[in-house]
Order: sequence, then C-alpha cells, then structure tokens
Amino acid sequence: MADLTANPTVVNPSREGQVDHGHDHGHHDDHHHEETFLTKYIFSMDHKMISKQFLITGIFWAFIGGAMSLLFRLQLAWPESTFPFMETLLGRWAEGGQLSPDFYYALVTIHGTVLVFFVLTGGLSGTFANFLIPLQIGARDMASPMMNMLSYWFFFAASFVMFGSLFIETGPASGGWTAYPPLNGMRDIAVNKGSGLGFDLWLTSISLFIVSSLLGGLNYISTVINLRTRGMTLSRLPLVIWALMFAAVLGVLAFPALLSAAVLLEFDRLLDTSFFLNNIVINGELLAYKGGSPILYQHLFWFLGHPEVYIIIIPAMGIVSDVMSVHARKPIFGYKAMLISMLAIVVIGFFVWAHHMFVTGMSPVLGVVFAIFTLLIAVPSAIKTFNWITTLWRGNLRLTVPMLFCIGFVSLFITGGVTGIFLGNPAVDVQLHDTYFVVAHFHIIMGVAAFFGMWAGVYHWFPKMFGRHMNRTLGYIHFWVTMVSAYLVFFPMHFMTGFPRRYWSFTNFETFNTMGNLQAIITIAAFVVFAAQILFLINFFYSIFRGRPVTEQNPWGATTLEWTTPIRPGHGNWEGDIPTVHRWAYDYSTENGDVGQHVPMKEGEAAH
Amino acid sequence: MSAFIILAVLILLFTAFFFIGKISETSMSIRKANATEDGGDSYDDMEYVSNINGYLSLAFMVGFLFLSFYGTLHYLPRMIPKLANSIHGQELDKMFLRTYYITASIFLITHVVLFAFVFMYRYKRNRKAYFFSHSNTLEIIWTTIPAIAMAYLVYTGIIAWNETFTKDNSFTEYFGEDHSDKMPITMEVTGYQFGWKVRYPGADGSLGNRVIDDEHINEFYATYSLPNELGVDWQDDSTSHDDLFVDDTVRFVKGHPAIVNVGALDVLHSFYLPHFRIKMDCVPGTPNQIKFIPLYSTEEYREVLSKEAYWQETNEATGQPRWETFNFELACTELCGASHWAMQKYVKVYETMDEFYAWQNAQTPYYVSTVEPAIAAVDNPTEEEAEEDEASIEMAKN
Repeated sequence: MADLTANPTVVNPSREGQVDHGHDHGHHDDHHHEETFLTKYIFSMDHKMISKQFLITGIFWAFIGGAMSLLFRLQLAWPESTFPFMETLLGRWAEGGQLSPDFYYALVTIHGTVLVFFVLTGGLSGTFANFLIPLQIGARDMASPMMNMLSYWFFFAASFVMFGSLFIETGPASGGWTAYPPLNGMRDIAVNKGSGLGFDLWLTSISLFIVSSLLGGLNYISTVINLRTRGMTLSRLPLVIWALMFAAVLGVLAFPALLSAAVLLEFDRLLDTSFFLNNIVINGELLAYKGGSPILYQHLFWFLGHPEVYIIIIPAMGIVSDVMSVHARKPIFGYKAMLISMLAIVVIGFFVWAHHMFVTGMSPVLGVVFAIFTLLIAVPSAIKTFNWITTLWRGNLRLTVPMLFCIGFVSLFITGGVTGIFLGNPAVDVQLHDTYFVVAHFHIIMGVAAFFGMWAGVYHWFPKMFGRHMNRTLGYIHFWVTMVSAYLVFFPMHFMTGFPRRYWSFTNFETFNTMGNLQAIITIAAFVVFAAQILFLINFFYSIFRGRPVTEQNPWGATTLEWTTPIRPGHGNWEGDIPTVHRWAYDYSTENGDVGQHVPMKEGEAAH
Repeated sequence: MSAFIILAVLILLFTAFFFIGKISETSMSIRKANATEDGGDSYDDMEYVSNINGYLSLAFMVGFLFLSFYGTLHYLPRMIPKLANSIHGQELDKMFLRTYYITASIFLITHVVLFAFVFMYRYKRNRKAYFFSHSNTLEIIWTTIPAIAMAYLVYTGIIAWNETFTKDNSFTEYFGEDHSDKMPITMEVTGYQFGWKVRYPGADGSLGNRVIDDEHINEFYATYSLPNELGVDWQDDSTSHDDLFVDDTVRFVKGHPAIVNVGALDVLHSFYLPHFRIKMDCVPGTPNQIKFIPLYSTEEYREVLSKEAYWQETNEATGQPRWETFNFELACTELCGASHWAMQKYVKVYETMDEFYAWQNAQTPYYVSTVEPAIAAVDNPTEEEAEEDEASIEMAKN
C-alpha cells in the first residue's frame, strides 16, 4: 500500500509526462519547446516560479512599506522641522515640507497593512510554502498548480488595487490597519479623509488578498496530506513543512472571519446598514444608524487578527528550526516537542483574540479567560526557545549568513516574546494598551523576527532557487547592520512606556514630551536599517544574474530532499523517479556522518 | 544641492560595499584553492568566517545587554512618573514590576546562554557535533518552570484586574479597604472629533438623564438652534438643570472615589489618564464606566516630583523648574482621525472636597447660561420678537 502513495504516476496521473521534465535548466539550449516567456515567467504553474513571484512581490511591498515608515519617522523625530523634499515627493500631502496629519495616518495605515498582509503573509508563506512543500515532501508540484497560479494572481490584483489607492485624490485608507468602525464605517471624508474611496479600495484589496490566501492555503494543506513521496510519513516531515501547513490551517480557518467583517463593513458604508454602527452624532445631528456594535467588528477582526500573527511567525519558526539544524550540523533538539508546541500555539492561538480588547469595556470575566489562554501560549513558546538554544549546544556551528539570521531570530523572539507577557496580563495591559510598548513588542516579534526567519530562508534556499550564490560578505554586512540598528529602532520604544501610539506629534502633551532626542535616535537607526536593505536588494538581484554559480548539488550539506534535485530543477523537480524517504530529516553528525533522507537505513541502524 | 551631495555619498557608499563584497568573494576563491575544509562549496574558509562572526556575536551580546539595561535606567526618570496616582494603579504597577523582574531575568539568562553557545561552538575543522536529538527530562523541566511562572503571573494579575474592574460601586471592599464613607464624584466624559465633553453634576450630585433619540437631539437642535449632542433631557428632567459643562480641566478629589461614565459621539476614542493608570474605550452607542480613587492632590504630586533630577530642570517654555508647572493630563488612545494626537486636557486633583465644592459653586450651570435662554427665545418670544412675528404673519396674510 505504501507504494501507492509514493509512485508519482499513481499519485498524479495527470502529470505523468512531466517526469521527464526535470531538465537541468543550466543548459538553456535544449530547453523544452512548449514553454514560452508567458507560460514560464508570468502565468507559470511551476510552484518554484510562483514562489519567486511571491518573493519578488513581497520584496517590492517591503520597500514601499519601509520607505513609508521613514517618512513618518521623520515627522516623529523632528515634528517642528520641515523637509522640502517631502513636498516634492508628496505634493499637497506635505505642504511646506511637513507631513499632513491626514497623510501621516495614511502612511501608518498602509505601512501596517502591506507589511502584515502582503510581505509577512504573502511574501513569507507564499514564497516558502510554494517553494519548499513540493521539493521537501517529494512531489512534482502542488496538488493544484492552477489554483496555485490563481493564488498568486489574486495576490497581484490585491497589490494592484492597494498600490492604486495611494494615488487617488482623497488619499489611501487612513483609519489604521485594523480599520475599526465607526471611523472607517462611514463613507464620509469629513470624518476621515481616508474613509472615502481610499477605504473602499482597501477593503477590495484585502478581500482579494483573502481569496489568494485561501486558494494558496487549501493547496498547501492538500499537497502535504496527499502528495508525500514513498516513505515520507508525517513524523518524518521537516519542521518547516509542518510549520507551513499549520500556518495554512490557521489561515483557512481565520481569514473567512475577516472576509465577513470586510463585507459587513462595506454594507454599512454603501448600503447604510448598521452592523457596526449605533447612535452616532456628527455635527450635532444624530444619524440613522441603530443597534449595531463597533465592538462586534473588533471581535471579528481579531478572530483573524490574532491567528494572523501566528500565520506570520510560525513559518519563520519552521524555517529557523530547519536552517539552524543544517548549519549547526546537529538534529533539531526535541523534534516532537517542537511539533507539539507548534500545534499548541495553533490551537490556543484561536482563543486569545480578545486580549487586544481588554479596555473596550468588555466584561472583566472575559478578560480573565483570555488572559489565561494568552499567558498559556508563553509555555509552548518558551519550549521552542529552549529547544533552539539546546540545538546550538555542542554543535559545530557554521556561522553562515542564514545561520546568523537564525540566531538573530532567537534573540528577537526572546526580546519580543517576554514583552508579550506584560501585554497578555490585563492588569498590566491597562496602562500599556495602544502605547509604544505595544509597538515595540509586535515590531520585534512579528516584524523583525519574522523578517529574520524570511532572510534565513532566502539566504539558505537562494542557491536552490536560482542556481547561484548570494554574495556572503554583503550578506554579513546586511545581517550585522540590520541586527544592531533594528534593535536600536525598537528597543528604545519600551522606554516610551505609556506614550500613545499613532500620534502625529507629542508636542501638545507635557507627559509625552520628555524623551528629548530619543525619537531622533530611533529615526536615524531606521534609516540605517533601510540602507542595509538596499544592500540586500542589490545583492539579491545581482546574484540572480551574476552570482557565483552553484557547482555542488548540495552546497550546505543538508539532508532534505530538495538538495537531491538537479542544481537547476525544471518543472517536475526530479529527472528520474522521485526519491524514497528512509529516515527523518535531521540525521546530522550521526555515527555514519550526515545522512540524507533518501539514504536507506543501514543494517542494524536504529531510527532516531 | 545638499540633496545631491547626500545622494552622491549614498551611491558611493553602496558601490563601495558592493565592491568589498566582490573582492572578498574573489579572495575566498583564492583561499579555496588551498583549502581542505569541509564547508560546502559556498564556504571553504568556514573556520575563518565562523571565528569572526563568533567574536562579533560575543561583542553584540555585551553591547546589547549593556545598552538595554543602561538605557532603561537612563530613561527611567523621564518615563511617565513611576508613582501611580490611584489605589488600583499602584497595584497594577506592582504587577508590572513582578512581570518585569521575571521577564528581565529570562531575557538576560537566555541571551547570555544563546550567544555564549554561538561563541563556544563556532565551527572548528576538527570538532564533531554531538548527536543529541531529544531529552524528555529537559522538556519536562522547561515546560514546568514557565508554566509555574505564568500561573503565578496570571493569578496575581487576575486578582488586581478583578478588584480594579469590579462592578460594585459602593467601595466597601475596594482593595481590602472600606471607602464607602467618602463622597464619590460621578461625572461623564464624552469623546468627539476632536475633544472631550466633560459634564459634572451640580449640587444635587446626580447627572441629568440622557435620551438618545431623534426628539432629544435632532428635533431639539432644529427647534432651538442649539445643538444637544448628548441628548440631555433638558425639558422633563430637572436634575439636569444644575449640570456643569467643563471646558478646561477635569477635576477629581484626593481620596474620593471617581466614577467616570465614558462614551463617544462619533467614532471610537479612548479615555486615558496616564498618571492614574486609567484607560477605557469610548464607544458610540455603548456606555462604559471606569472608577478609581486618586491618592495625591496635584500639589502633593508636584512635591514628590520636585525631588527628582529631571523634574528639577528648567522648563524652557516657562522658565520655571518642571515640577512647578506639572499637571496631570488626559489623552486619547484610540485612533479617531486626523487630530487624534491633539485631544489634550489637563486634570486637577483637589486636596479636599471643600475645594471641589468651592469650584462647583462658582460655576454657572449650562442650563442657566445657555439652554434656558435658547428655549425661552423660541417658546416665549420677547415682546419685540413677538411683534415682529405677528407683523410677518400679517404680511403673509396680505
């Protein structure tokens, strides 16, 4: 029976012919004829090409979102100065060279939206789930390559709409990435400039993105369940595959709640329904909305919103676990514990959403329930951290660029994780809610840490993606500059405990105007971080075309299946049969040396 | 011009980095020709790079840990004053400190261990990694310890939380003490774009009723040309007639329970008193309530601050030491539109109830100053106006 699931022609009869397609694409001359530029690079159904499309779109948005943060950081650091270049760049949004509050809030909103959804969900899960799932489980492609292609093109459409919304007259959405009604619930630009057409486009874009995410997620799950090669039992899956599947499960279960919230919100805006609106008085006049609840929206939003942070961080955890193990030349410590803790995070992650709402006036009893579940999540997170550290213990750590990003990830995960213990406790959260402490917390743990996981993955799998190496000196500079200056940006924000976030200027308050040049230090550090990313960008694109070619099939000495494919695998991944799996993915430094998953067990050798 | 210079410098800098990268790649391939190390084809000088990065990791750890603790101490005097000015606030701050001590130790220990391991086990040609795949004992240890720590934090936190947000307004057992003999101050704060409507009861001690419907808001406005956003029932409820609308400063009394009804007119706002550790969202259509007992009057609090170096420095705007002009402030912490950042109001805490009464008695109720004249002007027009009206009716008839 085991043979049935393993034989590629049985598993996927529709692509029987593609067994031969695993050409080494280094030899472009004898390329198969039926692929045109359009089918190979644009409407590609090859999971590897789709993953690169996700990655490059993600990089595009990361730079847009990052550049936006620089603009509003300038305003925060020097609220009383003017920057003439800003008027050149933004026109009437920065008259006299000072960012207008309206556009400041638009920048904050779009920065949050694109980084959370487009970069760290689309760019991270989209890239690595597409790239790694078929290659590591031993499949020729995704369960449904067509759906996979659609998933990217829905993402592209979402990006297109969001990008377009930046250029309309009333400006893009400016009511925060959480888009709370009533601020965003009425199509009235007198209430908020960005709540006009800008927010309609925002909702459209997010709805398209949800479709993309669902198409992708269902595909990832069914691929992992159905298309594993012979011998690839669930308990032999690399952790990164587990992580990507868990993230997909979270997305499939949680995103629909956001879609329903988005649709109901648009009803309120366009059809004057009152799902989220009640007793609103504007300019002395009571509007006709009756009986809705703005808090209901928050429940729906955070029902996605909190699992969303795990959708972001779990793939990063998976990548770090596997990349760390390869470069430490040691098995990941406590594979089962890692797996169970990840599962615990996924399950508990669905019961903590209202910790974002402790001060909305909801019942204090509910606060207690959500506090218990929230602090409970610290336990599996701690287990994972200790296991990563133990993986390093007595290893032979090759401090390559991807390895450094893994180590940086663990450091950031600790720093950003412990502050979550403050925020999850309602008694402490009263003071910290909606302040810079929160900004510091989530930027470190789900912003920078998730980015570190992503970079670890990019540097590690770049040779497989493009058949060339990235320049490692630039990589090291990228890592160290980012590590130091990202901490310089976000760590000092803890000192601004209790300073409200989303303030255009603190000059009106004596209480919040005490930090002197700290804001300026943060802004300068932010510019340095951004400069380091330009270095990464140069390295990335230069290396795609001119990087040192990969000459070994398995340059890192890894055990997983993707390194058994040709250096430049074609559509279908393996030239001959798909390899059979005989062991788990972590047989590093065993008695027999480092042993790949496809190598049969020796006589008398015990499974780990 | 300066923009061009900056741009040119940046481009040069990136080009320089780029060539450093290129050159090191070339020098690596020269080393590679003589190397026998096992590092895969990307890293044949693995021992060399691991050494450099091992030392860098160590340096990073020292610098990072030093800066994080030094920074905390350095900025501590400038943080929102550590002294919470409310009974529950002091409990919540204890909770903060408890959490801080636990998490700061975890932070310190794990960082030292993490980077120490990175340094100690950096790649050596002759070292073989130790195959160590799992240990149930270890897993049990580091499941139990965090679980106990979290249980402790959540338990103590919930106790403080429940006391703070108890629905009981009698204050008979508020944090273990009886405050029911103190006259509470009930008041109402309503957020709008962009400010706060603050309403205090008059001598009767109770706020006038609000009826949020067409009749009390829209029709009232249309009839009397006077906005009545709150929907106060001016005509049928006389308790509203001595209510005070306060424009400048929110007022409380030391030791007396403050019961604040918070709400909003248009969009979400959040009522935030940083020094009192008070935060409650203002939701249109859903009234919320929060209560606390201030511990220090404004004067006493200034006295406390006068002993701290930061507050002794001269305030450039006023020329006085900072503590002398210190005031508690009210801020909004829920994004509510373009001027969200500007919803500031001062907060004053009186020493005694008498001072509060003195202020209260000196105010003219809003009904007397504004509502009554507006109603009278329409319902009982003065003679001249009545004549004018009659004249216009006559004209219309003709």
